[in-house]
Amino acid sequence: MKGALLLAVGNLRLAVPMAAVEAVVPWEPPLELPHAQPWLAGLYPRLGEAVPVLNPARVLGAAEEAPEVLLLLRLDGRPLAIPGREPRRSGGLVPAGEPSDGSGNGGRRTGDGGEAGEMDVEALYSACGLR
Amino acid sequence: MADSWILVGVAGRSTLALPFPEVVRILHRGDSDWGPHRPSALHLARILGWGSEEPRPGVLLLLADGKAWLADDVVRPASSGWDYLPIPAACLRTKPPWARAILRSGQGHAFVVDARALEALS
Repeated sequence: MKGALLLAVGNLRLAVPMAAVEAVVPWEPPLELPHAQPWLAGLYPRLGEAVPVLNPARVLGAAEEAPEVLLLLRLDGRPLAIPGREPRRSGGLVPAGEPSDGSGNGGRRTGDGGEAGEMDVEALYSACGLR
Repeated sequence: MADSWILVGVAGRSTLALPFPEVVRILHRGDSDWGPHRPSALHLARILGWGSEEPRPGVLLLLADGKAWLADDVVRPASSGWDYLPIPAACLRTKPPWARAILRSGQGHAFVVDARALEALS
């Protein structure tokens, strides 16, 4: 993976491929949408689009925590937002062996010696029915 | 996409947008002809899971399909200066989706509804 954006999501640290990252914006509570899918926290209106905002607790199993930012992704022209904290760029990730948390995310050693689960963006979109 | 909308407040917490041609009449509480439509009227707040309290002050909308809806009030007409943001169908559990889009302006936002899909939730 060439470069990643590291994001704390609840009790998880995710490494999101930079190729899928569109922007990071300050957190705003999304618009609540009745009768929505369980994975949806709400909608974030932005630049002519209603961007679906992921519910990290339901999709990723992340513990609920007050977000600071919205990470905006785009895959095949379709937007998706993930609430999170402490975003920062990493120059690259190298394999670190077996995932330390047993999550199956695929542990990767970051430049500062920490570990982050590498996010499979395509699988995430598929799980949400967005592709 | 309609050119003009009627915006309806629901449960004091959100606004729905209906295409203007779909609304035949708007009756306010106390209108003499409120009564006959009241028993079969769909309570929007209840359908959307936003509480079951009687809307206040209360309007009853008669739709072109013969159905009647209960809501808080008609907020204002909206004809221009609103962005139309389509909602991905995958976001909703209902098929067809009850909400088609978000109308957004500096004055706020409203969910554009599919009347038939919304009525199917009742």
